[in-house]
Amino acid sequence: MSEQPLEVPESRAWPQEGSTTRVPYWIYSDPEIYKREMERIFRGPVWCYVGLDAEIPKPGDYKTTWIGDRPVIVVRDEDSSINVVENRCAHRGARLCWAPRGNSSEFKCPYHHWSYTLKGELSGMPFRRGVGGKGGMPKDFDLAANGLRRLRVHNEGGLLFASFSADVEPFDRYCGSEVLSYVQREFSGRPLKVLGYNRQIITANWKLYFENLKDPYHATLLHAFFVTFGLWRADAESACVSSEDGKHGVMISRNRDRAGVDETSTLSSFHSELVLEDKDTVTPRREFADGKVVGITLFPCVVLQQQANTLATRHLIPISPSQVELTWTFFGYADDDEAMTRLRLRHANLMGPAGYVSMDDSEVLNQTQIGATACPDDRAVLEMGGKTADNCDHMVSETLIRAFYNYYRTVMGL
Amino acid sequence: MRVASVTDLPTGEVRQVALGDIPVAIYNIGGKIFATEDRCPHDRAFMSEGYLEDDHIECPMHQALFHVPTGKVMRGPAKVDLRTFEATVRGDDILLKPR
Amino acid sequence: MLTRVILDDLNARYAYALDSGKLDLWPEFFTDDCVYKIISNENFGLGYPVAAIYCDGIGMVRDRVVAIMQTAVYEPRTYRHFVGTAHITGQEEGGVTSEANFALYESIAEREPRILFVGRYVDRVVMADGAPRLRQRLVVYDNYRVFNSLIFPI
Repeated sequence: MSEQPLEVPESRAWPQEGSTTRVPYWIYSDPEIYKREMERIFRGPVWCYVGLDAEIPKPGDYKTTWIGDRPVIVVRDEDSSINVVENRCAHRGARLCWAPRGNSSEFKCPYHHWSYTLKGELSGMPFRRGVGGKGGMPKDFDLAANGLRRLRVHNEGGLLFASFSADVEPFDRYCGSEVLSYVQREFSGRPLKVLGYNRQIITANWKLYFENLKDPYHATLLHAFFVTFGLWRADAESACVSSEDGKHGVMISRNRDRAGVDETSTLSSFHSELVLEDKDTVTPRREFADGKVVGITLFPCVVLQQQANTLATRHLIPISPSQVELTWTFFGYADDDEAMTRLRLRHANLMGPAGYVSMDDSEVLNQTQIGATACPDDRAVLEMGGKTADNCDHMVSETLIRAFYNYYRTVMGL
Repeated sequence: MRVASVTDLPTGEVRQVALGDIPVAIYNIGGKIFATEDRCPHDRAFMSEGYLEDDHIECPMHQALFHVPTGKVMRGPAKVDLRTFEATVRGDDILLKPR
Repeated sequence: MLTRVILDDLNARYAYALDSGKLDLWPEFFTDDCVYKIISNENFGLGYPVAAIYCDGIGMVRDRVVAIMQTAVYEPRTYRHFVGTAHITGQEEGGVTSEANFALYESIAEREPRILFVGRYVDRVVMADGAPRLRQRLVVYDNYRVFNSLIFPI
C-alpha cells in the first residue's frame, strides 16, 4: 500500500462533513477512485471471499478466481489445508492457471514451465544449469525469493476468505461478534454441498450492487414478486444491523404468522389477483429454528444469501468502474434430504440473472449507473429512516448504506 | 543385455542407452556402474541430460534430485523414485538385466 | 414419426412465438410433465442441477409467464432467435432426443443488438395431443456469464 498521503483533487471532495447522507456520483465512475479502491480496499487489510471449501473437496483440487483485479488460485494442499496464491508466474507475469477448476499436484506455467508446489514455492525451472555448459540461471538465483505470492487464508464454516495483507485482523474481530453470529448461523461447520453457479456481468459499479443488499427499502417496491406471493411482507418483524464500524450489514426479517390486511396490500407492487400454480416455489420449509430470513453483506465483496430455502454466496468481482462480475454459488447442506434439495432448486428461481426477485436488480443498477455516470458531480440522497447510521428495528431505512459509506470514506480518505 | 562399453562412460558421467524400447541412464560413479530409467517421474525429462554430482542426479528440467544407487527421490517436484536396473560389467561390456 | 423437418418446424414456431413477444403461447410447446431449464454449459458439464430458469412441469412454465408479465421490471427489449438445424441424437419410447444450436440476440430500446446467448437445445420431443411437444428442453448456453439480465425464456 502506498505511503504517500492520499491526494484528493478539489473536485473530488465528499459533499458533506459528518455522518453520510449524500453520496457523490463520481465514486461510481472515476477511474482514479477505482484504482484507489483496488489498492486500499481489495489489496488492503480485508478478508475477501474466494469460494466454498466444498468446491475443492480433494487434495490437489483448485479453482481460479479474483480478488479485486488480481487473479488468484484457491487450492487444497496435500495435507487438506487450503492455500491461496496469486495466479501469476513469478518469471514473466503470465497467468499460471488457465482453467477455472481442476486437480493438479503442482502449478506449472505453460510459457516456460516454471514449476511451483501447491504452496506456491518455486520448485525449479527448465535448464536452470544451462545446456552443455552454456546458459542457465546465475548461481545466486534464489528459488525461495521467487515463488508465488501467498495470501492469508481463513475458513469460516466452509466459507473461504483470503487477504493480501499480513496485518488484517483475525476474522472474528473483522466481523464483530453480532455480524459473526449471523454468519455462523448459516455457516456453522455443517458440511456444504455445491448445487451450481450462476454468473453475470452487471453494467454497474460494484458498490451499487453492495448497496442494493443493504437496501431493504426497495425490496417490497421493486420486487413485486416478493409481496405478491407472500415471501416478504411490509409488516414483517425486521431489523437492520451493521458492524460497529459500518462496513458489514445484516438485514433480518421474520414474517409474522397472522392473516388479515396489512401494509402490503396498499403497495402498487402487490397484485392480489395473481396465483401461482406451483405453490412450492413460494412455500419454504422452515429450516432455521428462529424462522428468520437473513441477508448479510460482508465487506468488501460477498453477500450471504438465505431466502426461502435458497442459500447462496454472491461474490463481487469488479471489472471496471462501470462493470462488476457477480458469481452466485448456490449450495445446500450435505445432509439435506431429497425434498429439501427439490425446494432449494425451485427457490433458486427467485435468484440469479433471471430471478423473480433479482432480475429487476440488474436492470435498476444498470439504469443507476447510466444516470450517475452522466452527472458525476451530483449526489444521491440517503435520508430514509433518518440521518444517522444506527441500527434499527424496521426495514424502512437506508441506515445500512449510510453506515457503509461512513466506513468507506475513512478507508478511502474521503 | 549388452548396452555400452565401459571406455565410453568415464567416471562422473552419465549416458543414455536403450534397453529394448526403454531409455535407460547409465552412470559411472567412482568406477562403479549404475542404471536407472531415463525418464524423470515428474515431467518425463531425460535424466541423462541432467547433472551428476557425487552419487546424485539432478533433473535438468525442474531440478528434482535422486540418489542414483537406490533411485530414491531426495528433492521435489518429483514425488516418486526412479526405477533402477541391475548393471554388471564383464570385461569392457556394460550389461543390464531387463526387468 | 418425428423427423428432422418436423423438429425444425417446431423450433421455428417456438422461436417465432418468443420473438413476437407472444409469451402466452410458449407453454403450448410443452407436455404437462415437461422439464425446462436454462442452464450454463459449466453447470451442465459438471452435473450441477442449478439453472437460471427451472420449470418442473407445465405449472411452473405458466408461472414463469405470469411472473414475467405481471411482476418483472425491465427496460423494453426484443429477443431474436437464430436456431440451427435439428440433429436427432437418439430414439426413445414415444419420441426422439435431439439437439439444435441457437444464438439469441437482444435489442434493448436505445441500444444496438448484441449476442446475449449462444448454445444448444438439448431436447426430448414426443407427439402429444396431435402435435410434437417438448417433454424436455434444456437450453444449455456456452456463455461463461450472462450479460445483466435474462428476462424472457429462450
